[in-house]
Amino acid sequence: MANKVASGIFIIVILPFLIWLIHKKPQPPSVSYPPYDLTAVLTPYDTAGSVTLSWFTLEGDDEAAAYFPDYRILRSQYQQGPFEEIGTVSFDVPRSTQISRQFRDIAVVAGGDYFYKVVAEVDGEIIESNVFGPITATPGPAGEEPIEVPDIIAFPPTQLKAYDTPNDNGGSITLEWKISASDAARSERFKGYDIYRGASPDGPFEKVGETTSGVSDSERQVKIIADGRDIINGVEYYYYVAAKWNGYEANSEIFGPVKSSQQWFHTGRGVSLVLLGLLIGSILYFINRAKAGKELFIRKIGGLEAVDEAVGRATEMGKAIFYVPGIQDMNNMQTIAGLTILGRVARLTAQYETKLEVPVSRSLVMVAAREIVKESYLNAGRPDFYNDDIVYYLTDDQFGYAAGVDGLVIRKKPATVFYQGAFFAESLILAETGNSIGAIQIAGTAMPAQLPFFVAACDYTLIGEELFAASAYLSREPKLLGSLKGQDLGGKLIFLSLALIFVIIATLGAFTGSEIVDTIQRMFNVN
Amino acid sequence: MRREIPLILTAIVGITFFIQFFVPHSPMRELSETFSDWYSIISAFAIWLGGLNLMKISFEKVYKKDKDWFFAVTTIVSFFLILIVGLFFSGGRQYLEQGSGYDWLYRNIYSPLSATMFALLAFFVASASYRAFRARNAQATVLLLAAFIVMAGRTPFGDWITIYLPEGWRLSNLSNVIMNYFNVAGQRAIMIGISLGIVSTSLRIILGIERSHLGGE
Repeated sequence: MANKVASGIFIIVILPFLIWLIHKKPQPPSVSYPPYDLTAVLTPYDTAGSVTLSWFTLEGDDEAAAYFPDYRILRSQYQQGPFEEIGTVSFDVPRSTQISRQFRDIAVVAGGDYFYKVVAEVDGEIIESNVFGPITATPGPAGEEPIEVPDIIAFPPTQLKAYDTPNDNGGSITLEWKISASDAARSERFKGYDIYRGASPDGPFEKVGETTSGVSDSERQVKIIADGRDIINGVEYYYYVAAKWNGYEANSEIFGPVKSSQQWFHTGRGVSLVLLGLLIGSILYFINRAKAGKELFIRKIGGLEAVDEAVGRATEMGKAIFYVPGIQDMNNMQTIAGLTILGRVARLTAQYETKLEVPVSRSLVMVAAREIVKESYLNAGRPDFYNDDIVYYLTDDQFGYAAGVDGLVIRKKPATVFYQGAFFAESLILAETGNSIGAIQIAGTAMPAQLPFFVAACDYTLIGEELFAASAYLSREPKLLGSLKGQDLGGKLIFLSLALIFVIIATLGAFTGSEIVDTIQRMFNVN
Repeated sequence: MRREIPLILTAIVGITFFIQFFVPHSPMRELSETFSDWYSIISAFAIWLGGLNLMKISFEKVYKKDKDWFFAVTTIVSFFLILIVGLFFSGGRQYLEQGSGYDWLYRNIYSPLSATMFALLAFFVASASYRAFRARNAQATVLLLAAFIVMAGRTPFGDWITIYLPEGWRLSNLSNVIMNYFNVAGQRAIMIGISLGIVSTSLRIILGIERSHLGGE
């Protein structure tokens, strides 16, 4: 009794708290989305040396912004000010892109250093941009036609950050940057970004990669990419990113130093480890109990109880039994589970001298199935009855395999057909064909989408976990039954209790508008 | 030893993959990648076993003039046709390139045949539904009712016949409720059971308790 109370307290109180404690907390974003994100560049080919400013629009400044306030452009020769207003940009001035605006300052004196900021009053609140500068007004070389805003000006990516890629075995540095205002135009003339890396901030820098235009995180308008090219753990690197616009390039600021390293534990998988540990502990506990001779009750599984009956029916009718182990390879747990049942079926067919056929769609499955059938015939004392042709290969192709098995079923009219393993769209094609010839059919799969088809077309269906329980259920070996009990009782008790507790918390959170719903979702995200 | 060596190998590989899921540090990642490569290599070699087995059985059927032996002839001819065309009649191109003989066979024979098999599913769904949706008892009647609501709710007809009802009671909405709540809840329950089953079976195999896939009890 005391044990049960302790387990109850652990599951209801301590476990949820432990999970909350160790789940990966959300990190503050390395690249923020401040208002404006102001940048300024010297206007190309302007012999007067004007400066072009670009900033991202504020929330509300969109197509429907009929009454959005004007942006006021301020300039100073010093970072701390004083700033004076040099112009305004009103809502009805066409925007350079959907999410950015530009302003050209032509009232500059060549050689002068300038700092800029943008200010707007939205709903009574004054929102200021970052101060950008200094930028030295330098007359450009005479070139093409005078440039009109927003044509062919390449704006650099901003807020470049680089950090060691988390939860990996090193050799990788992740870069994030706010996209260039030129990229925001979504124009074909924007040719993406080049990534440059160097061992010191003074260079030399080498191009180590490139990427397309667009964003990885649309909320923050941020591009994220990992550099894994010849990175040596522990070595310091410096980066800059160049935006490519219509033959021009605009470089971000240099960021560094940054080093890559290996991590010993994947921080996003802590909750998984705890839950898996509990499940494994529960399974091992019941295995030990079973080994100690404790009687374990296992509920009846109709599909497995019917195996003997199905084999007997085929024997009485003098017809063959078909065993279809799915269309996946030996690395799929369902295939392995399916083959464990094959061992039992093969043993029965050997005892009853009933013909067994196992058409397979994977070569490795063929080899494994042969071993299993051979061993079963040997154990049944009928090695003479075994031959390699019991298990044969048809094709790896999904519908080719379905066509092959259907053809065999129609022609040979087996009395019993087993479908045990992983199935996809061919499940109903196979099962309906078997049904049409009146065969008794026992299916088992862990593909939830195929279960309704098998239920509709087969006499018995092992649903999901029953397929994995088959081996233990049929063999009745204590150790296997113990593991079954551990999975059934320990696993389900823990997971259902947790589900119930978190559903209650999430429901309360949803009604109170708390962020707890997001937190709970994050807890169980495996990344 | 015939049984022990596979068990030891299984345990080593299984434990490596388990640890690697939580420990990205060297040498776990490298080891798991190596094991995955080995699996791919073994699979690639094993395809020969499958192909040779198919040919052996087909040739035997033709040689012995077994019942339906002419189907085996089709298999043999198809097998060698695509093999020979792919190997020798690609016109100097890669066999997968557009316009090669292999590509022609793939587009004009293989794809239509595959599509035909897939298309049969529609008829099988109809026949299976006809059997499954008979109102034989209370549970089957509930199933039938749910199926009717979902199917009708996914067509304009569903909303047309319930246009006079409040929006929440129209068939399209009821259909969404069934699919998003009842169906998802059922599927998740099955998925949880499957996951537990997979963990349990994996553990049995790694620990060597489960041996039936190696041919033992």
